[in-house]
Amino acid sequence: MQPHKPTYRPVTCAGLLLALLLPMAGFAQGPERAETEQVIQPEIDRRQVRIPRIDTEDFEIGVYTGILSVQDFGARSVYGARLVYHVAEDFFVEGMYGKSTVSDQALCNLGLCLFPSREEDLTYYGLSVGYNFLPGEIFIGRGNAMTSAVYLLGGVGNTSFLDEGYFTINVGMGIRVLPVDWLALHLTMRNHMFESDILGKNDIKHNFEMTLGLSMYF
Amino acid sequence: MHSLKWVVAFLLAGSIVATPARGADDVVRAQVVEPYLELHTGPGRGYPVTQVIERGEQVEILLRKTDWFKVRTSQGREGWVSRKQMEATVTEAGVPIRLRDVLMEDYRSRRVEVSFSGGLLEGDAFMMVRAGYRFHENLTGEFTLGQASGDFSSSLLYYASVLSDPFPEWRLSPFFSLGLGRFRNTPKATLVSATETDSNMANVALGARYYLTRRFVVRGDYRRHVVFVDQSRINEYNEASLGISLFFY
Repeated sequence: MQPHKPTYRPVTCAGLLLALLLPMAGFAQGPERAETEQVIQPEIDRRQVRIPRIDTEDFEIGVYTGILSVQDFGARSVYGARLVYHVAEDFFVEGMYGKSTVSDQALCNLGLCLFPSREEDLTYYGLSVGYNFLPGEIFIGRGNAMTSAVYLLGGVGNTSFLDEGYFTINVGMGIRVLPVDWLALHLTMRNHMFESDILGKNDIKHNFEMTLGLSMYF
Repeated sequence: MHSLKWVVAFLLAGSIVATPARGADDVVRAQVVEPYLELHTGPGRGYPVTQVIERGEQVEILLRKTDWFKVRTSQGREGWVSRKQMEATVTEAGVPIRLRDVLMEDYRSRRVEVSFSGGLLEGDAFMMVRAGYRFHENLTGEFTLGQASGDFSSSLLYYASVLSDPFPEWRLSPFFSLGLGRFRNTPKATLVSATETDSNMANVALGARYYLTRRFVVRGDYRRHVVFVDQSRINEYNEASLGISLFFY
């Protein structure tokens, strides 16, 4: 936070730049040494080991829409996108980005208008870890079974509205149903929690969200 | 209405992408050498075993999800086999099947790296997302976008940096980096006298990466940001963060 004497800065920068480029000098000599002549010519052919190319579907990309209720500022529609990486049978990591709005209409009716306009944009993002808590199957009629899972979510992120960002913790759960191997339907409930003093008192705000989503494995 | 449009667009895009994905000519077959192979109804240990394939029979491997393989028998029945049982099968040529996993060698030849980090920027909660491209064995170009939310202000910063690993072959490998970018600090609206900062900045960092498993790398950074507020004033901020990276080769 203190102002700094700028006198030695160029020297430090030059030193760092030099150090940054130093490993390149060593690398430039590398390939020449590796290309030594082969003394003994092998008489048998190298056995071809073909690694099977199996279509691996551990990533999931999707969109969702639903309702986000922001404490003190009403419940509005929300939409967003998510990217999931299934690490193992039980765990996955998920990144999400969502958009919604907040409104101070209810407060404004009481004569306490807080926002420049009655409706302001809200965006949030987060990174969560998921645990497939209850894997199973869902049956439709006699002949249809779809794999499903009830999962638990927890993560961190940020919520922004009115040019202010709030560090946000999210916890939730959801149900995933796969009608076919590459498609999943999600019903997710989440609580986005952040600390705010926007109404005068510093408080943890609970913001519940319920969404329906559709995603694709690739 | 806006959201509905998105869903429809996504559905359409999904059906276009998904249709040609199943190529019939590149079929991977495996022969059972263990006494039997168990077929589960879903990709998980709890799903019931409805069929058993006997020794000598062949299955077609359709797809993989984490450690489970979807196979089709010669009678056309489908089911999921665990990785452990799949590894005991052989290919048509009679050699043990090799199930390719992301390994340390792939980490060494990685090209693209995406990471998410969390930490503290002068005591405020700080989060970052980074994308990097490794253009040389020792050098990676990175772009970072970060947001800090504190009690008095929130900051948004982005910068481009060059990261150098002197020992890329080590599992725990140190690095340092130099970056240039922009820093914006907005005081909370409830504070009256504070002013907004929007300035250029430079930073220098020291850190380490540790290759965990599969596509995962743990990374820790210690960074010093120098913000050029105006002609006469420089602000310095310390950042410490820990994150996870996914890499692609």
